[in-house]
Amino acid sequence: MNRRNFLQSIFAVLLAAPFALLFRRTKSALPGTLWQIDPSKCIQCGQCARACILRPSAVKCVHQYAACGYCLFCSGYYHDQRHKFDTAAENLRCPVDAIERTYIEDPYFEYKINEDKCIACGKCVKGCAEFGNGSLFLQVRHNLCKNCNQCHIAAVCPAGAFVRVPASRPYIFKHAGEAK
Amino acid sequence: MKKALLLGKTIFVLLALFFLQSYLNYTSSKEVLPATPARDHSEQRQVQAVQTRIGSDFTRLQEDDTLTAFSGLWPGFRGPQRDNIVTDSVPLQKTWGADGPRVLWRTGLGEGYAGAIIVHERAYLLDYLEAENADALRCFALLSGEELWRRYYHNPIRRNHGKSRTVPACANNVVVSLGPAAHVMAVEASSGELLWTRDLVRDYGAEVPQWYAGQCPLIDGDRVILGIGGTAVLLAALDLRSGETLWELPNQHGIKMSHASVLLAEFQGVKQYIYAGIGGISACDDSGQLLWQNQDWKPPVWAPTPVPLDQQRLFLTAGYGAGSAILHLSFREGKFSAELGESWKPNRGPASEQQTPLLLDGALITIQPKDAGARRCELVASAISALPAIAAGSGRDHRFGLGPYLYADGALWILDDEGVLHVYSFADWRFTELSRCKVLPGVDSWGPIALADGIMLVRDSTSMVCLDLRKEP
Repeated sequence: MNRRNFLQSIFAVLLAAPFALLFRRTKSALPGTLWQIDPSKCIQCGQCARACILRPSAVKCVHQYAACGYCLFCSGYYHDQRHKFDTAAENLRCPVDAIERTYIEDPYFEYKINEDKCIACGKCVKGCAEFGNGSLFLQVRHNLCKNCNQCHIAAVCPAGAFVRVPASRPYIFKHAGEAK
Repeated sequence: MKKALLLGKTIFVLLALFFLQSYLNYTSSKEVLPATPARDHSEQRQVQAVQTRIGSDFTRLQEDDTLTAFSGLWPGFRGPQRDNIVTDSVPLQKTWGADGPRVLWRTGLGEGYAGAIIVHERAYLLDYLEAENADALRCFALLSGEELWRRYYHNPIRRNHGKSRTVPACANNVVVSLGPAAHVMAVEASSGELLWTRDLVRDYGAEVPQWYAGQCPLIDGDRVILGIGGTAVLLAALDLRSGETLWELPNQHGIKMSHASVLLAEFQGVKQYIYAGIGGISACDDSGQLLWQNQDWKPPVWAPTPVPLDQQRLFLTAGYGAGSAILHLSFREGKFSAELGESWKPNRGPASEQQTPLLLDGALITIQPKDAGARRCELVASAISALPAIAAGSGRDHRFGLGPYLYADGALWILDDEGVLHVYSFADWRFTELSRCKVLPGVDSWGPIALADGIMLVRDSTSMVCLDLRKEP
């Protein structure tokens, strides 16, 4: 190999490298299966907030609006010792104020999760499951998750709620009958 | 050289100032907003004020109302004695073949949890007519299911975990109903003729509780007793036939209307009406004089009616994290007083979220709420002498949601959330399942059960079924 060929080879490798990396990244971002939380098994233990390698966790509370009652008194929003049904901090169950409540029309209120704030503690999910319809539940958000296939939360989840789901159906929705 | 050093120091200081300013500008505390009370814009909330003409409309659906003779009676909330116990039941079929119990008829209903009553050959239900946006007292022929008439009125309310949720009461040929927006209506049971009405919001300044009114009217002899929780009146007695006010108990402490129904009980030989409202529990005698009041236990939502345990104690229970408590009543020098005793959370003792527990031979029987930990939604029994200990449970494979239950012919009849009717025996502090069958297609089968002489009416959120449980029809 002469010097010209050697430099041409180096140049070709440098040109091809980004495509190869891109291909590899694309392949790793779309595996056959992904981690997800089965809401019917989740016990809202709080491990999702603590065990994830990301801060805050890649697990977030999600809201299945079709199952929500849009109540004034939302047991996912208010803690057990609330004084009033308003939006003051002392009445709220979420420790980071990640649930935004908006009055729609009498008697309905909408509850929306601010994922930038949510830390996946599961407190609202527990309140919603114990007294409400169960429309709030935890899910791994795949736009945040590293999909490294070595999920630390899955390793410590005491309820075995972390399951593999097909990448084509990355989220688990509740059926109508399960939303209680 | 000095100039260069000076220039370098100046650049360093400027850079340091730049980074300091950047840090102060970008600190996350800038994005923290105060969590103040009205962030949801609920100040815009306007409760729809509709002038309702209660009982304005009537439709007769069957001209011939000659009905099959039937003597059964379930005339109001929790039956003839308001205790959900049938002491003189006909023998009931407790086990069934593959088809389950015999179905006499089924009918569709507006979404809700209202329970029916049985008065001889008729059944009455305060339904919600979805198409007409109306509360409707519907009268059915009990054994055929044919609707005989309906008395109704326009009441446009939005779905809020269903709409209907009360049980009417009947005595002396008068049916009294209380609608989701606290509209009271009295009609003649045989003809459906309107006798009198009351709008508890308009007439007394009452507030409709969250998820609409759940109180079932109490008829005691020739009077109707209502828990009002209005601006000035807490409880009122109205003449059953005319609706005329007999007495009113002043609302001294601003107690609001709850979902609980007025309890008629006798303590120390004194008959009293007891009402568990939002903000406190109160009792008055049959002339409307206050006997006692207690405001030490204040759940934000109160649905189960208190249960008298003995001559000194009332069992209080409510859902949404409240748990249960014992209220001790004492009678000294002609005066009653009420003192709050032990209280507990649902994971430590018997509790209930919606249904009123059942007191059976010294055993308090209830279905635990969903926040009761390992015993969530289990059927449990506690000796009233050893509360809050739970002495028996149906076990983790036998859970029932928030469904209703009653005791008849030596067995517990329980309807779970999904419309499955379960039969359990309870002996020697053990529950034993005798049979089960899905009798309703839908969900949220929370409406109280009616049972009279072997004919049972049960409902889910949108339908009702009439079952013939008699061994010998």
